[in-house]
Amino acid sequence: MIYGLLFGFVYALISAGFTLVFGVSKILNLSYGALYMTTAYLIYYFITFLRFPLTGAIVVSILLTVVIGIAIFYFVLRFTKNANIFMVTMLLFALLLQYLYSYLFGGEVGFIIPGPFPSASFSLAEVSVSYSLFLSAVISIAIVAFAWIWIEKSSFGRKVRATSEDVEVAELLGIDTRKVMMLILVISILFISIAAVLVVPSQEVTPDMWINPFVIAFAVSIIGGLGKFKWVIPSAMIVSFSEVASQYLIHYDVSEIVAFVIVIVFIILFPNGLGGRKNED
Amino acid sequence: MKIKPIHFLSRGYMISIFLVLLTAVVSIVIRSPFLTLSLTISDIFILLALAWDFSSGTTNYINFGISFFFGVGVFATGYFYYSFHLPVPLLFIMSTVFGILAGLVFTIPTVRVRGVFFTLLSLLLPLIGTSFILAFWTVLGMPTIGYFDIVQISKSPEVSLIYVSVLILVVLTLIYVVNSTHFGLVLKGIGDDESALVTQGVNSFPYKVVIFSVSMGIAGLAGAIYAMTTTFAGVDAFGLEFLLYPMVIAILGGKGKILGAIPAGYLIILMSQYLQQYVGDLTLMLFAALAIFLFLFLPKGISGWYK
Repeated sequence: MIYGLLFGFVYALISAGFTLVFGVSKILNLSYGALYMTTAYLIYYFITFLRFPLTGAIVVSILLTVVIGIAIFYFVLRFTKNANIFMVTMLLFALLLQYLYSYLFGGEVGFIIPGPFPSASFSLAEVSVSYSLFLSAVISIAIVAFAWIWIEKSSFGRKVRATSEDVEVAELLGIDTRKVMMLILVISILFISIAAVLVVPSQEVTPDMWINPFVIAFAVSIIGGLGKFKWVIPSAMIVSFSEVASQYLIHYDVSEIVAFVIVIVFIILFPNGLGGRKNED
Repeated sequence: MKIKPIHFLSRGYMISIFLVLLTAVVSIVIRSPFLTLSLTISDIFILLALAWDFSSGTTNYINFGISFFFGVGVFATGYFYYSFHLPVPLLFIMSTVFGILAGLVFTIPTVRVRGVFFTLLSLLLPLIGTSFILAFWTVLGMPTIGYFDIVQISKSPEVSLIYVSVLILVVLTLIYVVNSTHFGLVLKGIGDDESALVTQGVNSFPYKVVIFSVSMGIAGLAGAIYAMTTTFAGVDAFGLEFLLYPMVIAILGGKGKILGAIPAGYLIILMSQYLQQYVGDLTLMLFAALAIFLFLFLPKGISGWYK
């Protein structure tokens, strides 16, 4: 239960950016997972080859990831307006990054990067929880909660919501939707990049590491309804609880399959996600 | 619009058959194991490209799941060889059948929803394929994570290539015939404007289910050929290069233009096989870059470029 809750918070952070970008631009950023991996490799590179201190490496890597993510997004957007081609091209960029890292750093052996938190554990409701998982969860939920309040309450948040309702009407109301989109993109990349800083130290850095966060972001976004930001936390909880339960009850490796099956079930029951309206296409 | 009659003597179809037969003849004359293997691999990717173009190229429902169904074919071959020692022709049939079944299971719930969801879900498939095998490899009776020492199509690689060429011709003819019928017309309608089609009173759902299942069967068949060529069925069969290359081939050959996949396939895969010898792992990266270039600047392929 505790693990389900803690992972749920982290999953919310992983998925928040993905669903935000879709809400505003109606575009699926399929390079999303690859940016997570980019942060991890950059941190590894700065620490191992350039001897950066950990904090410096983290900050520089996050900033660079944002630059790379925006460069890819606007490069593709510059040359195509077709949603299908856009989607395929973003996925191809993800593959390009995967093959690039695999070529530069070798594909077989994973690396370990140090985390920002101590790895010691403490006991929480009779369950042993490491400080890093606990603090990651706290930071994740703080960021997502802050973003949520910000989108619900601030004037910029109103612009974001207006843009995701209807771009043309928002523009008629004098909202600079391009600026909104740009900002949301930056925020979304920040989210996934911070998630990488929090999560990757407990895993290995390998060229296919982008797949897991990608599957999670998909599952959470689809269950909650693509672009429905307020449903991110509940649907992240659904995904993480069912994953943890299946790992205990069935097998460690089935968690991704379980996420997939839940998504299929939800697609049949709620074609527009939990937050979707009935008359929507 | 009148349905066009089937012209088996159409130029593109004849050239495609000629090319496939030519490769078989060339491999027999030259007898270079590397060339024969490269041609067989080209044929596998051409089958995948045909499967992709047949369904996604015509209907505009982008399907990223092709490498999953390819993997299903690979593992079905391994399973039926290991558990029942089926002969080669039956292995081809079983992997195709399993491709179709997996396609049905996936398509029926998902293809009701519009494009984006379908694409997302199809992309999830190859990503979870590996964890499926990791979780169930003991249940599937694998000696390790994967099957090895799978039977070859034939002891002689040249004879294997002939079998594979025949299979390609069968698939090609099937696709050619389907595209010339009413069924193919509906598929094009789905690709052009599905809502208009639905307003005309056509229920697009069964068409989509059939086309995607059959395509995934073709992908399964390609998987069987791959398993019997490499004699190994492992989780690398879910690799996204089995999605990347077919997409490059299909786009280069012209989306929805089935026959273009054949020359494009030989070109791309032979090039990549030779490149692999010189630049190694850089090859995949170069082809990912090529794919981005093609999608952004030549989305209509070579045929669109000429016009």
